[in-house]
Amino acid sequence: MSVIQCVDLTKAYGKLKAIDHLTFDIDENKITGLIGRNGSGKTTLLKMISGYLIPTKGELKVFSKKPFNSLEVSANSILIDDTMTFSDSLTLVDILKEMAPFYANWNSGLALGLFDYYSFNPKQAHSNLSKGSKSTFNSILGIASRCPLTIFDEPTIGMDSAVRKDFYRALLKDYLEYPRTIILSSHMLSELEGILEDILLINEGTKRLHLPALELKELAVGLRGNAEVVLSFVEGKEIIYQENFAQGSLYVVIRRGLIQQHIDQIKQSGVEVSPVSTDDLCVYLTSKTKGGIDDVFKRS
Amino acid sequence: MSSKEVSLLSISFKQYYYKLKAHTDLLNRLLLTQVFALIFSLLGTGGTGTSGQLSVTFKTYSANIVIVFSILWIIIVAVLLTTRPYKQLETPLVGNRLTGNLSDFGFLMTASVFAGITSTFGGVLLRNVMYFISDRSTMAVDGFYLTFTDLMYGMVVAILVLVLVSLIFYFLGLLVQANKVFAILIPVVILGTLRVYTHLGQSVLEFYMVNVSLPLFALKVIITAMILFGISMLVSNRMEVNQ
Repeated sequence: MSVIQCVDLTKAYGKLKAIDHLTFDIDENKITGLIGRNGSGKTTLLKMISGYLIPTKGELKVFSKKPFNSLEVSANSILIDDTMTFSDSLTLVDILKEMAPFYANWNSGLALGLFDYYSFNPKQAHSNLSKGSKSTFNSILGIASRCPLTIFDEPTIGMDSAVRKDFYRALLKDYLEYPRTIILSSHMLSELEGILEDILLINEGTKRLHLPALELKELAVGLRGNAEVVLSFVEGKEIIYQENFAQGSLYVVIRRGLIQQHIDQIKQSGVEVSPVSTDDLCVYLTSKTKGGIDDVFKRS
Repeated sequence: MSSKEVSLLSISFKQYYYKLKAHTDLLNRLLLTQVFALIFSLLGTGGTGTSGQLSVTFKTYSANIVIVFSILWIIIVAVLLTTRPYKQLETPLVGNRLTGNLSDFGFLMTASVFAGITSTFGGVLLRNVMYFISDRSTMAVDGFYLTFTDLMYGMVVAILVLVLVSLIFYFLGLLVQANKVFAILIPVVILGTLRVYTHLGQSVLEFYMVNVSLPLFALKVIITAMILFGISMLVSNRMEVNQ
Protein backbone atom coordinates (compact mmCIF):
# COMPACT_ATOMS: atom_id res chain seq x y z
CA MET A 1 0.00 0.00 0.00
CA SER A 2 1.36 3.41 -0.79
CA VAL A 3 1.28 5.99 1.95
CA ILE A 4 1.88 8.95 -0.32
CA GLN A 5 0.42 9.19 -3.80
CA CYS A 6 1.39 12.16 -5.83
CA VAL A 7 0.15 12.70 -9.39
CA ASP A 8 1.14 15.67 -11.53
CA LEU A 9 1.63 17.78 -8.41
CA THR A 10 2.43 21.44 -8.98
CA LYS A 11 3.01 24.20 -6.48
CA ALA A 12 3.48 27.64 -7.92
CA TYR A 13 4.38 30.89 -6.22
CA GLY A 14 3.26 33.37 -8.85
CA LYS A 15 5.15 32.39 -11.99
CA LEU A 16 7.81 30.42 -10.15
CA LYS A 17 7.05 26.73 -9.94
CA ALA A 18 8.56 25.27 -6.77
CA ILE A 19 7.15 21.85 -7.65
CA ASP A 20 6.51 21.14 -11.30
CA HIS A 21 4.33 18.19 -12.40
CA LEU A 22 5.79 15.76 -9.91
CA THR A 23 4.49 12.18 -9.89
CA PHE A 24 5.59 9.48 -7.48
CA ASP A 25 4.38 6.96 -4.90
CA ILE A 26 5.95 6.19 -1.57
CA ASP A 27 5.30 2.78 -0.13
CA GLU A 28 4.45 1.93 3.44
CA ASN A 29 7.22 1.23 5.94
CA LYS A 30 10.10 2.29 3.74
CA ILE A 31 12.86 4.77 4.45
CA THR A 32 13.04 7.13 1.51
CA GLY A 33 15.70 9.74 0.99
CA LEU A 34 14.50 12.94 -0.66
CA ILE A 35 17.60 14.30 -2.31
CA GLY A 36 17.97 17.57 -4.14
CA ARG A 37 20.05 20.69 -4.39
CA ASN A 38 19.30 23.90 -2.56
CA GLY A 39 16.01 25.34 -3.79
CA SER A 40 15.01 22.20 -5.62
CA GLY A 41 11.62 22.11 -3.88
CA LYS A 42 12.29 19.56 -1.13
CA THR A 43 10.86 21.62 1.71
CA THR A 44 7.86 22.77 -0.32
CA LEU A 45 7.05 19.16 -1.16
CA LEU A 46 7.38 18.03 2.45
CA LYS A 47 5.19 20.89 3.68
CA MET A 48 2.48 19.93 1.20
CA ILE A 49 2.68 16.32 2.36
CA SER A 50 2.35 17.51 5.97
CA GLY A 51 -0.70 19.59 5.07
CA TYR A 52 0.81 23.04 5.63
CA LEU A 53 0.61 24.18 2.01
CA ILE A 54 -2.11 23.78 -0.62
CA PRO A 55 -1.07 22.21 -3.91
CA THR A 56 -1.69 24.55 -6.86
CA LYS A 57 -2.51 21.73 -9.26
CA GLY A 58 -2.46 17.97 -9.37
CA GLU A 59 -3.33 15.37 -6.81
CA LEU A 60 -1.65 14.61 -3.53
CA LYS A 61 -2.94 11.94 -1.17
CA VAL A 62 -1.46 10.93 2.16
CA PHE A 63 -3.09 7.88 3.76
CA SER A 64 -5.61 8.23 0.88
CA LYS A 65 -6.63 11.69 2.17
CA LYS A 66 -5.90 15.17 0.93
CA PRO A 67 -3.41 16.37 3.52
CA PHE A 68 -4.13 20.12 3.52
CA ASN A 69 -5.71 21.11 6.83
CA SER A 70 -6.52 17.45 7.54
CA LEU A 71 -6.64 16.47 11.17
CA GLU A 72 -6.22 12.81 10.39
CA VAL A 73 -3.08 13.31 8.33
CA SER A 74 -1.73 15.58 11.04
CA ALA A 75 -2.37 12.94 13.71
CA ASN A 76 -0.52 10.32 11.71
CA SER A 77 2.44 12.34 10.55
CA ILE A 78 5.08 14.60 11.97
CA LEU A 79 7.40 17.01 10.20
CA ILE A 80 10.69 17.61 11.94
CA ASP A 81 12.65 20.62 10.71
CA ASP A 82 14.74 23.45 12.09
CA THR A 83 11.83 25.92 12.22
CA MET A 84 10.00 24.07 15.00
CA THR A 85 9.42 26.46 17.88
CA PHE A 86 8.31 26.00 21.45
CA SER A 87 7.21 28.46 24.09
CA ASP A 88 9.86 29.75 26.48
CA SER A 89 7.47 28.87 29.29
CA LEU A 90 8.24 25.21 28.64
CA THR A 91 11.52 23.55 29.55
CA LEU A 92 12.95 20.79 27.38
CA VAL A 93 11.55 18.10 29.67
CA ASP A 94 8.16 19.86 29.66
CA ILE A 95 8.15 19.71 25.87
CA LEU A 96 8.73 15.96 25.90
CA LYS A 97 5.91 15.61 28.42
CA GLU A 98 3.50 17.90 26.57
CA MET A 99 4.06 16.33 23.15
CA ALA A 100 3.19 12.85 24.42
CA PRO A 101 -0.64 13.18 24.57
CA PHE A 102 -0.78 14.28 20.93
CA TYR A 103 0.89 11.25 19.42
CA ALA A 104 -0.77 7.90 19.98
CA ASN A 105 2.42 5.85 19.59
CA TRP A 106 4.66 8.19 21.61
CA ASN A 107 7.44 6.31 23.36
CA SER A 108 8.39 8.33 26.46
CA GLY A 109 10.96 5.79 27.60
CA LEU A 110 12.84 6.20 24.37
CA ALA A 111 12.45 9.99 24.41
CA LEU A 112 13.88 10.30 27.92
CA GLY A 113 16.58 7.74 27.15
CA LEU A 114 17.81 9.72 24.15
CA PHE A 115 17.42 12.96 26.10
CA ASP A 116 19.75 11.65 28.82
CA TYR A 117 22.14 10.14 26.30
CA TYR A 118 22.72 13.50 24.62
CA SER A 119 22.98 15.04 28.13
CA PHE A 120 20.57 17.92 27.62
CA ASN A 121 19.90 20.26 30.50
CA PRO A 122 16.28 19.49 31.49
CA LYS A 123 15.64 23.06 32.68
CA GLN A 124 16.77 24.75 29.47
CA ALA A 125 14.37 26.49 27.09
CA HIS A 126 14.21 25.31 23.47
CA SER A 127 15.01 28.75 22.06
CA ASN A 128 18.33 28.89 23.93
CA LEU A 129 19.67 25.72 22.34
CA SER A 130 22.47 25.98 19.80
CA LYS A 131 21.70 25.13 16.20
CA GLY A 132 23.13 21.62 16.45
CA SER A 133 21.49 20.91 19.81
CA LYS A 134 18.16 22.12 18.46
CA SER A 135 18.42 19.66 15.56
CA THR A 136 19.38 16.92 17.99
CA PHE A 137 16.46 17.67 20.29
CA ASN A 138 14.00 17.85 17.39
CA SER A 139 15.28 14.52 16.10
CA ILE A 140 14.37 12.98 19.48
CA LEU A 141 10.79 14.21 18.96
CA GLY A 142 10.77 12.67 15.49
CA ILE A 143 11.98 9.29 16.64
CA ALA A 144 9.94 9.08 19.84
CA SER A 145 6.66 10.14 18.18
CA ARG A 146 6.69 6.90 16.14
CA CYS A 147 4.26 8.44 13.66
CA PRO A 148 3.16 6.18 10.80
CA LEU A 149 4.63 8.86 8.55
CA THR A 150 7.72 10.52 9.97
CA ILE A 151 9.33 13.27 7.91
CA PHE A 152 12.71 14.79 8.63
CA ASP A 153 13.59 17.91 6.65
CA GLU A 154 17.35 18.39 6.81
CA PRO A 155 17.49 16.80 10.26
CA THR A 156 21.25 16.94 10.66
CA ILE A 157 21.74 20.69 10.16
CA GLY A 158 24.41 21.85 12.60
CA MET A 159 24.96 18.42 14.17
CA ASP A 160 28.56 17.34 14.62
CA SER A 161 29.59 14.10 12.98
CA ALA A 162 29.37 12.01 16.17
CA VAL A 163 25.79 13.12 16.80
CA ARG A 164 24.87 12.61 13.14
CA LYS A 165 26.05 9.01 13.30
CA ASP A 166 24.18 8.48 16.57
CA PHE A 167 21.04 9.93 15.02
CA TYR A 168 21.14 7.64 11.98
CA ARG A 169 21.80 4.66 14.21
CA ALA A 170 19.01 5.51 16.65
CA LEU A 171 16.59 6.08 13.78
CA LEU A 172 17.48 2.78 12.14
CA LYS A 173 17.27 0.81 15.39
CA ASP A 174 13.88 2.21 16.29
CA TYR A 175 12.69 1.70 12.72
CA LEU A 176 13.60 -1.98 12.88
CA GLU A 177 11.75 -2.33 16.16
CA TYR A 178 8.77 -0.30 15.00
CA PRO A 179 8.60 -0.10 11.19
CA ARG A 180 7.05 3.05 9.74
CA THR A 181 7.29 5.23 6.68
CA ILE A 182 10.18 7.64 6.99
CA ILE A 183 11.23 10.41 4.63
CA LEU A 184 14.62 12.02 5.12
CA SER A 185 15.55 15.05 3.09
CA SER A 186 19.18 15.93 2.84
CA HIS A 187 21.98 16.83 0.54
CA MET A 188 24.49 14.64 2.30
CA LEU A 189 23.61 11.42 0.56
CA SER A 190 26.92 9.68 1.33
CA GLU A 191 26.06 9.59 5.04
CA LEU A 192 22.48 8.52 4.53
CA GLU A 193 23.18 5.78 2.03
CA GLY A 194 23.51 3.11 4.68
CA ILE A 195 19.95 3.48 5.95
CA LEU A 196 18.00 4.46 2.85
CA GLU A 197 15.97 1.92 0.94
CA ASP A 198 14.70 4.24 -1.78
CA ILE A 199 16.01 7.45 -3.18
CA LEU A 200 13.87 10.17 -4.71
CA LEU A 201 16.01 12.72 -6.48
CA ILE A 202 14.33 15.96 -7.43
CA ASN A 203 15.68 18.96 -9.27
CA GLU A 204 13.91 22.26 -9.93
CA GLY A 205 10.66 20.74 -8.76
CA THR A 206 10.74 17.79 -11.11
CA LYS A 207 11.63 14.18 -10.51
CA ARG A 208 15.03 13.04 -11.77
CA LEU A 209 15.11 9.56 -10.29
CA HIS A 210 13.11 7.36 -7.95
CA LEU A 211 14.70 4.00 -7.37
CA PRO A 212 16.10 1.71 -4.70
CA ALA A 213 19.36 2.96 -3.21
CA LEU A 214 21.21 -0.18 -4.32
CA GLU A 215 20.28 0.41 -7.95
CA LEU A 216 21.50 3.97 -7.79
CA LYS A 217 24.94 2.70 -6.82
CA GLU A 218 25.05 0.58 -9.97
CA LEU A 219 23.43 3.13 -12.24
CA ALA A 220 26.47 4.82 -13.74
CA VAL A 221 30.16 4.34 -14.38
CA GLY A 222 33.00 6.78 -14.82
CA LEU A 223 35.40 6.46 -17.75
CA ARG A 224 38.77 8.16 -17.56
CA GLY A 225 41.41 8.12 -20.26
CA ASN A 226 42.55 9.65 -23.50
CA ALA A 227 39.87 12.02 -24.75
CA GLU A 228 39.64 10.58 -28.24
CA VAL A 229 39.44 6.99 -27.08
CA VAL A 230 36.82 7.75 -24.45
CA LEU A 231 34.73 9.80 -26.84
CA SER A 232 34.77 7.04 -29.42
CA PHE A 233 32.95 4.81 -26.98
CA VAL A 234 30.38 7.33 -25.76
CA GLU A 235 29.69 9.03 -29.08
CA GLY A 236 25.98 9.69 -29.58
CA LYS A 237 25.06 8.46 -26.13
CA GLU A 238 23.66 10.56 -23.30
CA ILE A 239 26.54 11.80 -21.19
CA ILE A 240 25.70 12.58 -17.57
CA TYR A 241 28.87 14.46 -16.77
CA GLN A 242 32.06 15.39 -18.54
CA GLU A 243 35.24 16.91 -17.20
CA ASN A 244 38.44 17.72 -19.07
CA PHE A 245 41.82 17.17 -17.50
CA ALA A 246 45.31 18.14 -18.55
CA GLN A 247 47.11 16.37 -21.41
CA GLY A 248 44.00 15.49 -23.36
CA SER A 249 42.62 13.32 -20.60
CA LEU A 250 38.84 13.16 -20.21
CA TYR A 251 36.48 11.92 -17.49
CA VAL A 252 32.99 10.96 -18.55
CA VAL A 253 30.08 9.64 -16.48
CA ILE A 254 27.53 7.57 -18.37
CA ARG A 255 24.73 5.14 -17.58
CA ARG A 256 26.12 1.66 -17.15
CA GLY A 257 23.41 0.15 -19.33
CA LEU A 258 24.53 2.15 -22.37
CA ILE A 259 28.04 0.71 -22.51
CA GLN A 260 27.49 -2.65 -20.81
CA GLN A 261 28.31 -4.65 -23.97
CA HIS A 262 31.54 -2.81 -24.64
CA ILE A 263 32.88 -2.80 -21.10
CA ASP A 264 35.68 -5.33 -21.77
CA GLN A 265 36.67 -3.57 -24.97
CA ILE A 266 36.83 -0.27 -23.08
CA LYS A 267 39.02 -1.72 -20.38
CA GLN A 268 41.40 -3.21 -22.95
CA SER A 269 41.81 0.11 -24.70
CA GLY A 270 43.42 1.56 -21.58
CA VAL A 271 40.45 3.53 -20.35
CA GLU A 272 39.97 3.39 -16.61
CA VAL A 273 36.46 2.28 -15.59
CA SER A 274 35.42 3.28 -12.07
CA PRO A 275 32.22 3.29 -10.04
CA VAL A 276 30.64 6.68 -9.35
CA SER A 277 29.72 7.53 -5.77
CA THR A 278 26.00 8.17 -5.38
CA ASP A 279 26.76 11.57 -3.88
CA ASP A 280 28.67 12.67 -6.97
CA LEU A 281 26.13 11.09 -9.27
CA CYS A 282 23.30 13.07 -7.70
CA VAL A 283 25.29 16.27 -8.11
CA TYR A 284 25.96 15.45 -11.78
CA LEU A 285 22.32 14.57 -12.41
CA THR A 286 21.10 17.83 -10.96
CA SER A 287 23.68 20.22 -12.38
CA LYS A 288 22.57 22.69 -15.02
CA THR A 289 25.64 22.33 -17.23
CA LYS A 290 27.57 19.25 -18.18
CA GLY A 291 30.96 20.65 -17.17
CA GLY A 292 30.09 21.88 -13.68
CA ILE A 293 31.68 24.95 -12.10
CA ASP A 294 34.68 24.67 -14.45
CA ASP A 295 32.59 26.03 -17.30
CA VAL A 296 32.31 29.34 -15.51
CA PHE A 297 36.06 29.74 -15.43
CA LYS A 298 36.56 28.62 -19.02
CA ARG A 299 34.35 31.37 -20.35
CA SER A 300 36.13 34.18 -18.54
CA MET B 1 0.28 0.06 10.32
CA SER B 2 -3.01 1.77 9.70
CA SER B 3 -3.73 5.41 10.28
CA LYS B 4 -5.79 6.27 13.30
CA GLU B 5 -9.04 8.15 13.57
CA VAL B 6 -8.89 11.23 15.72
CA SER B 7 -11.56 13.34 17.32
CA LEU B 8 -11.65 17.05 16.70
CA LEU B 9 -12.73 17.91 20.23
CA SER B 10 -10.16 15.80 22.00
CA ILE B 11 -7.34 17.33 19.93
CA SER B 12 -8.72 20.82 20.55
CA PHE B 13 -8.76 20.19 24.29
CA LYS B 14 -5.21 18.86 24.18
CA GLN B 15 -4.10 21.97 22.32
CA TYR B 16 -5.98 24.11 24.85
CA TYR B 17 -4.18 22.52 27.80
CA TYR B 18 -0.90 22.85 25.94
CA LYS B 19 -1.55 26.55 25.34
CA LEU B 20 -2.46 27.17 28.98
CA LYS B 21 1.04 26.02 29.86
CA ALA B 22 2.82 27.54 26.88
CA HIS B 23 1.24 31.00 27.28
CA THR B 24 1.68 31.45 31.04
CA ASP B 25 3.90 34.46 30.33
CA LEU B 26 0.85 36.24 28.88
CA LEU B 27 -1.13 35.69 32.10
CA ASN B 28 1.81 36.92 34.17
CA ARG B 29 1.82 40.11 32.15
CA LEU B 30 -1.83 40.67 33.08
CA LEU B 31 -1.02 40.70 36.78
CA LEU B 32 1.81 43.16 36.15
CA THR B 33 -0.55 45.39 34.16
CA GLN B 34 -3.12 45.33 36.94
CA VAL B 35 -0.59 46.24 39.60
CA PHE B 36 0.33 49.28 37.53
CA ALA B 37 -3.34 50.14 37.10
CA LEU B 38 -3.89 49.89 40.87
CA ILE B 39 -0.98 52.24 41.52
CA PHE B 40 -2.55 54.73 39.12
CA SER B 41 -5.89 54.31 40.87
CA LEU B 42 -4.35 55.06 44.26
CA LEU B 43 -3.43 58.52 43.03
CA GLY B 44 -7.10 59.28 42.49
CA THR B 45 -8.54 62.17 40.53
CA GLY B 46 -8.89 65.42 42.40
CA GLY B 47 -11.23 68.40 42.19
CA THR B 48 -12.44 71.44 44.06
CA GLY B 49 -15.97 72.70 44.40
CA THR B 50 -16.88 76.19 45.63
CA SER B 51 -20.31 77.46 46.63
CA GLY B 52 -20.42 80.87 48.26
CA GLN B 53 -18.12 80.69 51.25
CA LEU B 54 -17.96 76.95 51.23
CA SER B 55 -15.11 75.28 49.38
CA VAL B 56 -14.77 71.55 49.08
CA THR B 57 -11.69 69.71 47.88
CA PHE B 58 -12.29 66.13 46.95
CA LYS B 59 -10.56 63.21 45.38
CA THR B 60 -12.28 60.37 43.59
CA TYR B 61 -10.80 56.91 43.66
CA SER B 62 -11.94 54.40 41.11
CA ALA B 63 -10.77 50.98 40.01
CA ASN B 64 -12.15 51.52 36.51
CA ILE B 65 -8.66 51.95 35.20
CA VAL B 66 -7.91 48.33 36.23
CA ILE B 67 -10.71 47.13 33.96
CA VAL B 68 -9.56 49.43 31.17
CA PHE B 69 -6.03 48.09 31.43
CA SER B 70 -7.35 44.53 31.45
CA ILE B 71 -9.28 45.23 28.25
CA LEU B 72 -6.14 46.64 26.64
CA TRP B 73 -4.29 43.53 27.78
CA ILE B 74 -6.85 41.12 26.29
CA ILE B 75 -6.74 43.05 22.99
CA ILE B 76 -2.98 42.56 22.86
CA VAL B 77 -3.28 38.88 23.77
CA ALA B 78 -5.97 38.26 21.15
CA VAL B 79 -3.97 39.89 18.39
CA LEU B 80 -0.74 38.19 19.52
CA LEU B 81 -2.37 34.75 19.30
CA THR B 82 -3.02 35.26 15.60
CA THR B 83 0.55 36.28 14.82
CA ARG B 84 3.09 33.98 13.29
CA PRO B 85 5.28 33.31 16.36
CA TYR B 86 2.27 32.15 18.34
CA LYS B 87 0.70 30.19 15.48
CA GLN B 88 4.07 28.52 14.95
CA LEU B 89 3.83 26.97 18.40
CA GLU B 90 1.03 24.78 17.03
CA THR B 91 3.02 23.22 14.20
CA PRO B 92 4.82 20.52 16.21
CA LEU B 93 1.45 19.39 17.56
CA VAL B 94 -1.32 17.38 15.97
CA GLY B 95 -4.07 19.66 14.72
CA ASN B 96 -5.50 21.74 11.93
CA ARG B 97 -6.77 25.28 11.59
CA LEU B 98 -10.06 24.44 13.33
CA THR B 99 -8.43 22.91 16.42
CA GLY B 100 -5.98 25.81 16.48
CA ASN B 101 -8.80 28.35 16.52
CA LEU B 102 -10.90 26.38 19.00
CA SER B 103 -8.00 26.13 21.41
CA ASP B 104 -7.21 29.83 20.95
CA PHE B 105 -10.84 30.66 21.74
CA GLY B 106 -10.65 28.44 24.79
CA PHE B 107 -7.52 30.24 25.89
CA LEU B 108 -9.13 33.66 25.33
CA MET B 109 -12.20 32.64 27.38
CA THR B 110 -9.96 31.45 30.18
CA ALA B 111 -7.91 34.63 29.98
CA SER B 112 -11.12 36.71 30.06
CA VAL B 113 -12.45 34.89 33.12
CA PHE B 114 -9.08 35.26 34.82
CA ALA B 115 -8.84 38.96 33.94
CA GLY B 116 -12.48 39.58 34.89
CA ILE B 117 -12.04 38.05 38.33
CA THR B 118 -8.69 39.68 39.06
CA SER B 119 -9.77 43.12 37.91
CA THR B 120 -12.99 42.95 39.94
CA PHE B 121 -11.02 42.00 43.01
CA GLY B 122 -8.62 44.78 42.10
CA GLY B 123 -11.51 47.12 42.94
CA VAL B 124 -12.00 45.37 46.28
CA LEU B 125 -8.28 45.60 46.98
CA LEU B 126 -8.31 49.32 46.19
CA ARG B 127 -11.17 49.82 48.69
CA ASN B 128 -9.24 47.93 51.33
CA VAL B 129 -6.10 49.91 50.76
CA MET B 130 -8.04 53.20 50.84
CA TYR B 131 -9.80 52.15 54.03
CA PHE B 132 -6.50 51.76 55.82
CA ILE B 133 -4.40 54.56 54.36
CA SER B 134 -6.91 57.40 54.21
CA ASP B 135 -8.49 59.44 56.94
CA ARG B 136 -11.76 57.64 57.44
CA SER B 137 -13.51 60.64 58.95
CA THR B 138 -13.34 62.54 55.67
CA MET B 139 -14.37 59.63 53.48
CA ALA B 140 -17.65 59.67 51.60
CA VAL B 141 -18.94 56.14 51.63
CA ASP B 142 -21.04 56.44 48.52
CA GLY B 143 -20.30 53.32 46.54
CA PHE B 144 -17.64 52.27 49.00
CA TYR B 145 -19.39 49.24 50.36
CA LEU B 146 -20.10 46.67 47.68
CA THR B 147 -22.85 44.15 48.12
CA PHE B 148 -21.94 40.63 47.13
CA THR B 149 -24.55 40.68 44.34
CA ASP B 150 -23.06 43.86 42.89
CA LEU B 151 -19.61 42.34 43.06
CA MET B 152 -20.70 39.23 41.18
CA TYR B 153 -22.74 41.26 38.73
CA GLY B 154 -19.75 43.46 37.98
CA MET B 155 -17.54 40.42 37.58
CA VAL B 156 -19.82 38.68 35.10
CA VAL B 157 -20.22 41.84 33.04
CA ALA B 158 -16.45 42.39 33.05
CA ILE B 159 -15.87 38.83 31.85
CA LEU B 160 -18.49 39.13 29.09
CA VAL B 161 -17.00 42.42 27.88
CA LEU B 162 -13.53 40.88 27.85
CA VAL B 163 -14.77 37.84 25.90
CA LEU B 164 -16.48 40.05 23.35
CA VAL B 165 -13.49 42.36 22.91
CA SER B 166 -11.03 39.45 22.67
CA LEU B 167 -13.06 37.67 19.97
CA ILE B 168 -13.43 40.85 17.92
CA PHE B 169 -9.70 41.50 18.00
CA TYR B 170 -8.85 37.85 17.37
CA PHE B 171 -10.96 38.02 14.23
CA LEU B 172 -9.36 41.31 13.13
CA GLY B 173 -5.92 39.79 13.82
CA LEU B 174 -6.77 36.80 11.62
CA LEU B 175 -7.88 39.11 8.81
CA VAL B 176 -4.54 40.91 8.96
CA GLN B 177 -2.68 37.59 8.90
CA ALA B 178 -4.74 36.45 5.90
CA ASN B 179 -3.85 39.59 4.02
CA LYS B 180 -1.66 42.43 5.23
CA VAL B 181 -3.84 44.90 3.32
CA PHE B 182 -6.32 44.63 6.20
CA ALA B 183 -3.77 46.20 8.54
CA ILE B 184 -4.45 49.46 6.72
CA LEU B 185 -7.98 48.74 5.58
CA ILE B 186 -9.49 47.96 9.00
CA PRO B 187 -8.56 51.25 10.73
CA VAL B 188 -9.51 53.19 7.59
CA VAL B 189 -12.93 51.54 7.35
CA ILE B 190 -13.69 51.83 11.06
CA LEU B 191 -12.54 55.44 11.41
CA GLY B 192 -14.13 56.37 8.09
CA THR B 193 -17.49 54.86 8.99
CA LEU B 194 -17.48 56.51 12.40
CA ARG B 195 -16.77 59.85 10.81
CA VAL B 196 -19.49 59.60 8.21
CA TYR B 197 -22.09 57.94 10.41
CA THR B 198 -21.34 59.67 13.67
CA HIS B 199 -24.02 57.89 15.64
CA LEU B 200 -23.07 54.39 14.54
CA GLY B 201 -20.44 53.83 17.20
CA GLN B 202 -22.80 55.03 19.88
CA SER B 203 -25.68 52.86 18.71
CA VAL B 204 -23.44 49.79 18.57
CA LEU B 205 -22.38 50.45 22.17
CA GLU B 206 -25.98 51.08 23.15
CA PHE B 207 -27.06 47.82 21.55
CA TYR B 208 -24.80 45.93 23.92
CA MET B 209 -24.59 48.12 26.98
CA VAL B 210 -27.61 50.32 27.54
CA ASN B 211 -30.86 49.23 29.15
CA VAL B 212 -30.28 45.53 28.91
CA SER B 213 -30.58 42.93 31.60
CA LEU B 214 -27.64 40.68 32.35
CA PRO B 215 -29.11 37.57 30.66
CA LEU B 216 -29.93 39.57 27.54
CA PHE B 217 -26.45 41.07 27.48
CA ALA B 218 -24.97 37.59 27.91
CA LEU B 219 -27.11 36.29 25.07
CA LYS B 220 -26.01 39.11 22.78
CA VAL B 221 -22.37 38.40 23.59
CA ILE B 222 -22.75 34.67 23.02
CA ILE B 223 -24.48 35.14 19.66
CA THR B 224 -21.86 37.67 18.56
CA ALA B 225 -19.13 35.27 19.70
CA MET B 226 -20.60 32.47 17.61
CA ILE B 227 -20.82 34.68 14.53
CA LEU B 228 -17.23 35.87 15.03
CA PHE B 229 -16.07 32.28 15.47
CA GLY B 230 -17.82 31.23 12.27
CA ILE B 231 -16.25 33.93 10.13
CA SER B 232 -12.86 33.45 11.81
CA MET B 233 -13.02 29.81 10.70
CA LEU B 234 -13.90 30.82 7.14
CA VAL B 235 -10.93 33.18 7.08
CA SER B 236 -8.38 30.76 8.49
CA ASN B 237 -9.50 27.54 6.83
CA ARG B 238 -7.79 28.29 3.54
CA MET B 239 -4.74 29.86 5.13
CA GLU B 240 -1.44 28.07 4.64
CA VAL B 241 0.87 27.50 7.56
CA ASN B 242 3.83 29.77 7.11
CA GLN B 243 6.97 29.12 8.99
